[in-house]
Order: sequence, then C-alpha cells, then structure tokens
Amino acid sequence: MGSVTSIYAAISPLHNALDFHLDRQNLLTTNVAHVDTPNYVPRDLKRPNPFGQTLDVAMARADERHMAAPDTSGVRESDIFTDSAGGGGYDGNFVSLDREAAKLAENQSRYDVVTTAVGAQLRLLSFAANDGTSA
Amino acid sequence: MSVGIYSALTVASSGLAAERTRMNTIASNLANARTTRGADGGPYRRIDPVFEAVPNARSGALERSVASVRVAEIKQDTRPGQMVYEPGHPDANAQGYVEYPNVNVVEEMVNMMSASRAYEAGVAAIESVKSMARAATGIGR
Repeated sequence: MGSVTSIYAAISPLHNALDFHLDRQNLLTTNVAHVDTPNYVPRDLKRPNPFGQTLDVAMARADERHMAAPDTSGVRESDIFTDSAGGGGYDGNFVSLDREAAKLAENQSRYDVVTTAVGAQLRLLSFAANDGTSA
Repeated sequence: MSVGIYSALTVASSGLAAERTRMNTIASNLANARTTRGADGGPYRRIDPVFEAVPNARSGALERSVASVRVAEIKQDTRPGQMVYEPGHPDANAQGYVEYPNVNVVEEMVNMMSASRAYEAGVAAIESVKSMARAATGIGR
C-alpha cells in the first residue's frame, strides 16, 4: 500500500467479477434465444477459480526481446461447459426455459450486488479524497 | 475481453425474430386448415420453420458460443392429409374423397403457446440485460 495505483486495487477484482457476470449473461441469453433450435445444448460459464489464477501468473519479461506469456485474460474454451441437466426433447434440444430463467435472474442479481460493491468502494475513495467529509 | 451488452441484445432479438417467424407459419397453418387448393395444386401442406445457431464471430471461445438464431429453412410437412368423403366437393377424387390439409388445429395451438412463451422468455432476457446495463451506468452515482 502507499502508492497511488493501489488506491484502485480493491476495485480491480470487482471489475473482473462484472466482466464474468456479463459474459455469463451473454451465454444464458443465447440459451434462451435457442429454445427451439434443434440439437442445441445450453452452455454456461465456469466460475473462475481465484486460487488457480493466482498460481497461473506469468513471469514478467526482463527484456523486450523475450517471448511474451500467452494472454489468459479472456474466456478460455475450458471455461465454457454444456449443461444438459435440463433434459432433452426429441429434436435434441436441451434448453429448459425455467432453468435458464432462474440462472438469468441469479446472475443478474449477482451483477447488481457487484455494482453496489463497486459503488461503495468508490464512495470510500471519495470520502477519503474529501478529507473525511462526505461530499 | 468481455463480449459486451450489445451482443446479448443482438442474440436475444434474433431469438425474438425467429419466434415471430414461427408464429407466422402457425398463423398460416391455422388459416389454411381447410384449404384444398395449395400452391402446388394439391391441398395446403403445413409448414414449420427450422432454426439454426450462427456464431457471432469465428475466433474467441466465448464469441463462438454466443450465437444468433437464424431461420435455416421453412420445411413442408410431408404427412398425408385427412381424407373426407364429400362426393359433391369440386376437389373430390374419383372415389368421392377430398384430401384436406395435414393441419391439426390442436397441434398448432400447442405450438403457438410454446412460441409465445419462448418469445416472452426472450423479452425477459432482454429486460434482464437492460437492468444490468442500468446498474452498470449507476456505478458511482
């Protein structure tokens, strides 16, 4: 602590959480849209494992000419899994509307919680920036 | 990178458009339930849309999974129609039977309810994405 950049250190993981929930919302919305597409199996996004990610750090480049570590910031193929637990119909479609609706609602409320947390963090910073008087 | 709010809206609206197409075919089937002179001369044959998933992008794990709905084709049902004995009908065959369309009104009504529910689910998904966008723009206020 102490440096200017660490001021936002608490917000950065929340930013990742917002991205994760937005990506998941995209997948769940796709599932709802494909409720009548033959042979469609709904997809879902795996929650990122914070411990695994901590171990997954790349070494910093000591020299510009060294090879860069692969970019692992995006969603990986292994993070997306198919969820056929809802049961399939004769057309090979596994989308269950109620299942997807429940997931959508859950994911949306998680997203709302994270936005509230980000807002609270920003209010803390603003409190500090205004010498402890709430602006 | 995240795929963003707008791809969710694009995908959801493609789903709505597909369900609307389905509604149109159902309306056509119901309206022509007793039509004995279709486009190919014989009785009207019921039609069904076939949907397919079209990925929004070729690269990226998530981008390939977030796929829009497209109506691949409108398929004609090949099941035989119902033969009704009506010797006075102008379209009756030599034995006095008229072939009516292979439309089953109950089946169409069930399909209509399922299309209507799927449409509502798509609208709910759009509402959900919209409220997330609203929450995100409200950060810091």
